[in-house]
Amino acid sequence: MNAFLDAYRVLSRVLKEGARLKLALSELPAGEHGLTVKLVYSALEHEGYLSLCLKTFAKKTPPASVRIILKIALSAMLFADMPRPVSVNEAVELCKTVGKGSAAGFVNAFLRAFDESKVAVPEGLEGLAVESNFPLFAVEEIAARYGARARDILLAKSSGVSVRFVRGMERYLGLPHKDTPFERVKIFANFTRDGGFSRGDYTFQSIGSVAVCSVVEPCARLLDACAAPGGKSVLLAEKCGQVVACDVHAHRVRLIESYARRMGAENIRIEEGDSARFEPAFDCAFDGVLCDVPCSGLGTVAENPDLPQNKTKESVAALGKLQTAILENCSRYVRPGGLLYYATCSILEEENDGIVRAHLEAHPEFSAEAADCPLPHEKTRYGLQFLPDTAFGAGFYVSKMRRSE
Amino acid sequence: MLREILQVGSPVLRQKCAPVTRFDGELCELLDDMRETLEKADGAGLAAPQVGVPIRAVIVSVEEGFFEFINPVFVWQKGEQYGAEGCLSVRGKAGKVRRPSKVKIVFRDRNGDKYSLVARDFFARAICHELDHLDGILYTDKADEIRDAED
Repeated sequence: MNAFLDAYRVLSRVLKEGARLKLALSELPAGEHGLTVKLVYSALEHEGYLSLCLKTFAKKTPPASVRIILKIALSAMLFADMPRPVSVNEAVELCKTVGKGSAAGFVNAFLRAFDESKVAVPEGLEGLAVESNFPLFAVEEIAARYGARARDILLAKSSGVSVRFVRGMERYLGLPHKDTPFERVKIFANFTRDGGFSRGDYTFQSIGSVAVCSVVEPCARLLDACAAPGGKSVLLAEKCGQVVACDVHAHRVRLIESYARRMGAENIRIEEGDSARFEPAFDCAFDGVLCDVPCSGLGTVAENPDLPQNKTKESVAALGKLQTAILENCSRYVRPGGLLYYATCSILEEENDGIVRAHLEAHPEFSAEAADCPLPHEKTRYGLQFLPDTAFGAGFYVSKMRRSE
Repeated sequence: MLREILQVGSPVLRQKCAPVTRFDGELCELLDDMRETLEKADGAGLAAPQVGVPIRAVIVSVEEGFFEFINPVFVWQKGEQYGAEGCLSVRGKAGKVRRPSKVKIVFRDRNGDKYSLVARDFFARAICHELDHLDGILYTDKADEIRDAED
């Protein structure tokens, strides 16, 4: 069994090098990775709690690689029902394999002495931060805004695999699934990709992404300003005359191309370009512009437990500058009378209404318009906030603004 | 652990079963035991009352796969099929029963998460048969031709 070693490789990529979890998992050699995936996800989902365990039982903070080894062993014991002696053994072997043999004695002693009943989770919001794995500043903000509901929002679990069907849906409804307010979107407990995927019969698309698209009004010419991997562009191409899909990264532009080809969307024009820099050819050229901006992603933690890593108030503020720059620039592409949409997969006010408010204040030619959506949401001052506890795990935001004639 | 399959005449089989409210280790143990019991008996489905536990939990093992349905409820039933049915609690008999050909149910899994599913043909028949058990109904109440089974 080398699940511990594989988990170590993945977690090192994520925790030490800042790689995205799904990318790191995709780098594993082909094979059966059930236990590895379980260990990695629980280590990340309970990162806050496991760090607390380490703090409680280690007098000095061990080096980063030893911390990872201990977290894997604790995950195995606490969340994968692995008997302690097996987990200790695997952890000691792992130390030797990865050249940390000198730490084997410490790891052995730590895991044998570990006693979960002695780990004191703090009270209140700090405790909720440990339990939910959200950074404390985010917990405080959500608690201030939603009160007791914050717990449900922050601890919401993934609902499963969200699949949007184009055709042939009937064939898959014999699998356990959840119905959603969108007739052609179902959420499955388990779903194995088959030939229907490459035929474009269905695609894997978050329900939050579908909800954002549902707010966009049909129009002749739409710009999707941060389009990769292309899910929204393709769905919007069903109700718009032409969609121009733009992304700043060349390799992500190729993702849009293959997505659009697979789904047979022909009215999409794909362009590589920086949506934060003015493109004269786009000036007042669109009936609608969607800015689905880069964001903290803190609305999708249930799906991506690696996301809270390194998210700080400062990193969110830095993203805010980019979000503002994109919205500011792309608003110039909206023709008079046209619509501007701003969307994120975040639940933080400063990335959502906060950015929109600043835009509206600086640009009196834009005004917020009422929007609605069948997916449960909270109406904020300027838009719709989908929250993970009521929206199948999706914490998305969308605002709709009209440019005056 | 194998459990004993109660036979017709046992009062538990005629009871309206109570909804499951606690999704805990006890439920998991029951479901695991039911699966083992069903596999041993080589049946297509088993309801909790058949092993003496009057709660709304059934398992179904068909071509489409193995399923656990807790607190299952029909959303709709469509069409009609007419065919042979047997029951592990009515040993040695078989009968012909009219059932819908396509059903949709909502149910919870053993973790308490809510799902729905559409079943057709034999899968639909198995679901109808098992859900009847939860209301104390046996297929013999509905069959219009009950014979001694050949095997």
